[in-house]
Amino acid sequence: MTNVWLPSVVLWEGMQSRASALPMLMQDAFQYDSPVAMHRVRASLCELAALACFVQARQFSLYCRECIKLLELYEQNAPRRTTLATVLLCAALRASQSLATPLMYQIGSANLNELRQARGASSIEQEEHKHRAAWAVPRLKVLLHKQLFRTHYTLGDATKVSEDAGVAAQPNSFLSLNAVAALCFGEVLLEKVRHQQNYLQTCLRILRVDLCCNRSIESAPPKTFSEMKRIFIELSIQKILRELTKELRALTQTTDKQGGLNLKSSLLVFYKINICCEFLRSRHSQSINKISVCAQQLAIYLRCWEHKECEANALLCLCVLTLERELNIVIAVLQDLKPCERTDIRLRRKVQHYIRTRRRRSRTMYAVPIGSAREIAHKELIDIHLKFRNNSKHYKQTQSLTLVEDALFHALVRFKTIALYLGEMSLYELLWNLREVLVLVIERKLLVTNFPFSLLPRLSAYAMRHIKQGQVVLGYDSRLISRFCEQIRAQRQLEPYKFVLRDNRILLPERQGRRQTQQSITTVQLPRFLAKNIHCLVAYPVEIYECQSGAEFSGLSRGVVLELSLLARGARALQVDRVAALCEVLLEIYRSLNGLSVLPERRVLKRNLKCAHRCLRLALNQAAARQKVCDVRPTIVSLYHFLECLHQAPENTSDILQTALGAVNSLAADMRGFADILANTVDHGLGTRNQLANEQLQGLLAATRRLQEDLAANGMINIARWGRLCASLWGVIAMS
Amino acid sequence: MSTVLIIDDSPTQVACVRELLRGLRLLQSSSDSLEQCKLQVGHVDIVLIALCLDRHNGFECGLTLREWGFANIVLYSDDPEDTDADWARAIGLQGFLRLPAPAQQLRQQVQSLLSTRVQRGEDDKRLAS
Repeated sequence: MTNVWLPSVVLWEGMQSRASALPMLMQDAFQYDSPVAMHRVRASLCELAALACFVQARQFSLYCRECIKLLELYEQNAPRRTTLATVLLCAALRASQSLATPLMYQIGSANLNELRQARGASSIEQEEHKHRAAWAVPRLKVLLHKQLFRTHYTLGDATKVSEDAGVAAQPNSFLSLNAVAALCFGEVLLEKVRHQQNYLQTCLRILRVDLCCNRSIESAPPKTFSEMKRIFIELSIQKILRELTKELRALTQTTDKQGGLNLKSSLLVFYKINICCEFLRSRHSQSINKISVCAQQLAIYLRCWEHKECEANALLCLCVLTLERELNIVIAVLQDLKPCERTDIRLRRKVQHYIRTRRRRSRTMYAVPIGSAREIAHKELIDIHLKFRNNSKHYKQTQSLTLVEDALFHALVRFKTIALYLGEMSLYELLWNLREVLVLVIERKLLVTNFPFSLLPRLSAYAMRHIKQGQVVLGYDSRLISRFCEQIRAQRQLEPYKFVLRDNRILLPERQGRRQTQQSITTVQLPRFLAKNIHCLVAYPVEIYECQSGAEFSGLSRGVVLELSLLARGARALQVDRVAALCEVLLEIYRSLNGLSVLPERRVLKRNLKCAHRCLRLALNQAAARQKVCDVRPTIVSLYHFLECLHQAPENTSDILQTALGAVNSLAADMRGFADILANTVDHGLGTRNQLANEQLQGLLAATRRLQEDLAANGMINIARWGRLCASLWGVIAMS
Repeated sequence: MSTVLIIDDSPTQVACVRELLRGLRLLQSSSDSLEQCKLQVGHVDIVLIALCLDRHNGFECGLTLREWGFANIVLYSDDPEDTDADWARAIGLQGFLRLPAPAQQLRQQVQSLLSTRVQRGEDDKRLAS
């Protein structure tokens, strides 16, 4: 089990979807006390526990099992129902949160103990200590399977009812999943329920009805326990394989528009085949093992190579069809209980043909004389090797690779490119995978050890040697490549941090004509959606810096605000936190500016906004090129400072305007008095100079009146007019 | 003869691109010596930039060149993501190529980009007149 490579994406996705629906299901079950809803809750918990087992999330699996036991207690214990329901609801919420945000909510032994305490059991540590010596098999596993059996039993009842009513039982995926889970620990389980043979008989009946089996069980019911056990396992295997065949058929029937396979569903099916065949391998012939290997190969190639190429995809479809046929043969053979023959040769051939086609295609893509390209590549590799060596020294000091130097990333990309141009496809695939891991590290979605990266200098040295000698660098059977692949697979199992958010849908603003609406986008589609919908932000919004009034600014900045809010939400969902933080503060600034009637000085506005937009564009370009996003903190700090100034500005401005208005009013009154005096002196014939001053003063008075009106009406003041007025006033005073 | 400026830090990739575009006038630069490209403004018909560069990245480099007055800027990479072409278009670059590609196909793509440019130039002249 531990050696199987599982596409953890699918497992974690399945777990997350089940866990997110669990609280609601539970609430319904408790509220209406419905046995159907209760059954669905139990089924979800069983599935979660089984899936957690597969991804080796031990604590989470234990947590689900504790929930199952608590649910059982809830059903039995009427007086404590309210308390138990609350505990269960809290547990469901915690389980859902721990999958949605694994870094924030982690399930630990304290949480497990809470649940155990609620059902009056001792703490997990005490339990483990007590049973470590006594039990060869962990007790919890047995308990889980008892629970699974009970589910089978319930289903058995349902089947019985349908049998009585003359309706054939419909095969369902829940039963098959439980059968897989039961089969995992089948022997343990069957030994433990030896005294409860009626359970086993019920299970056999369900499987028999489900498989429409009319073999020996029908004619001669099993007498001994070992016979019953053997038949149960055989029927379970048939059931599982039949489900898988159905899924494979569905897969080839529901191809996309280009006639290709759906990547996600294909991976899911291949993963199931891997898991099931791994379980069956120990019990059955080698053919099952080979099918498992083929499914695994298909899954790897599907992931590694472009799945969108029609030609390759058609080939892959053929492989899947063959796989389906081979599975059918296995089922038929199992039903007849004959030994299996070699069944997967054609499939293997097809996969190999697929690989060869890919290689040939890649080789024909370039037309470089191999000799000269190898010389150039060799020289470049020396440079790359030095970079790897320097990085390796650096990473030896740290145990985990949390920060990736740009130099390492670029060197790896160049190494990968060399492998591609030289036609070293296996080396290319290996480096491609490594680069994917590195991108996850850069995006802070994965923590990895430095081991694969410490192997890079050795790999580059090895490649250098072979390229110089004109040899093929790596074959598919190379020990080095298999060691690397193991490492990469191990690292990729840690991917839940990335993929846990895959199915999340987020609401994003969208503009349709004049009105704004909201649309729901999944996180998978999000990067493309953002790339298609961001335009204003990329070009510096120059016309915005030239705005004179708040209303004009509001009109021009509408598009920018929409794109900013879209990007802020999108970047947060994609966990590009630096871009999200920058967008959020910019958005706040734009909203504050929209609320202002008077904009800050154009120079200040331009300086701050231009700097922020430039920083945002750089960060976006880096994120788009899968590089480390630059540090945006200095820009954010300066933007917050600007924002504070904006928030203070309205009070200060109004104070200043009030003071200015008071000053202008008193000045106007004084000027009027002065004008009267001047008029009197003119009347009394005191000189032409005063007459001239009086005329000028009248003009100034009119200007002051206009100022008063401006200030009182909208708080705007024409500084140039005010300056001219002051200068003229001093002139009049000097004259008089 | 059309002139193509290639900006890439990987000599192997440059050698391959040169081979693929044999027959055109090719100039080459790296991200370290980007400043020197300023002298080529007006003399280059199309600029090809690698997405992954030692300094900055293809997108930034393309925008810088566009600010300097270069037109017809195209990015290329050996494993482009779905978003790359969209983002290149969003920031105002002319397109995105997948390399290595069959030589014939690549030449056709370059020729179509060049013809688009000629047509755009004629349209501009017509509008100006």
